[in-house]
Amino acid sequence: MINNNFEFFLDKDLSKYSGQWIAISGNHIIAAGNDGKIVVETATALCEGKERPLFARIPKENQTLIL
Amino acid sequence: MNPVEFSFKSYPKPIDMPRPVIKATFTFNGKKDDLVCIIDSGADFTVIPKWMGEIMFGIDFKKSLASEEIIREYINLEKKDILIFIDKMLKSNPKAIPSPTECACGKVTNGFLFPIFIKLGDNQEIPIMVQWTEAKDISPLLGRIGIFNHFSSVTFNKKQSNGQFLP
Repeated sequence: MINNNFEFFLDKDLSKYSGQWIAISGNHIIAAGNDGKIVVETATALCEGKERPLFARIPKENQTLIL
Repeated sequence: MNPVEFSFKSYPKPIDMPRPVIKATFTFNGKKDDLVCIIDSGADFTVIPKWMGEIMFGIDFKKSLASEEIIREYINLEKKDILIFIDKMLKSNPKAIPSPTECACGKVTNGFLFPIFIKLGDNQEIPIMVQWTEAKDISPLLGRIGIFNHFSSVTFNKKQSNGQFLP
């Protein structure tokens, strides 16, 4: 049973969001796209008056992260 | 501080390299947002794209630009005293200190240092200095300064796909 946005993030196969920003709320990805600002603005509008979503950037496929 | 657990997630594909990730709640100016951060014990500071600071927390980096005096104070600061510096900034009117980010690959990107609060797990908010980078599409990174100082050790248990910040 997934009971919060971060658990949903950990559990979900995010393959199709490779290289995108995503916003998670209520066990759903409510906004996703390459432009992070649009994702944040869209998710903010969708969640108005509700709990804020969880935002994440999904790394691109087959890329090594050197931090 | 209470212990804080984090997880390893293989993504974007489930067969990808597992990366240590944590949910962090950032607050500033009465605004609050949750971000998934990759834990980067090699990063001096927590790194977040600058546009997120602008639209999520209303930070105006240009208007908040630090004076020459503050910039000099930061440059000459013994970095062991940085927590005092961060605290002092947050108690007054926080200023943005121009600061380039150098990636491990050698690429340099412009940005600003600007303090904000972070909450991990069920702990109280703590003040940290964030490097707000002009790089638009990087995953937020959780760096050491202001965070690792509050814990006695940080463990990465890749076999169990988790880790802990321990008090």
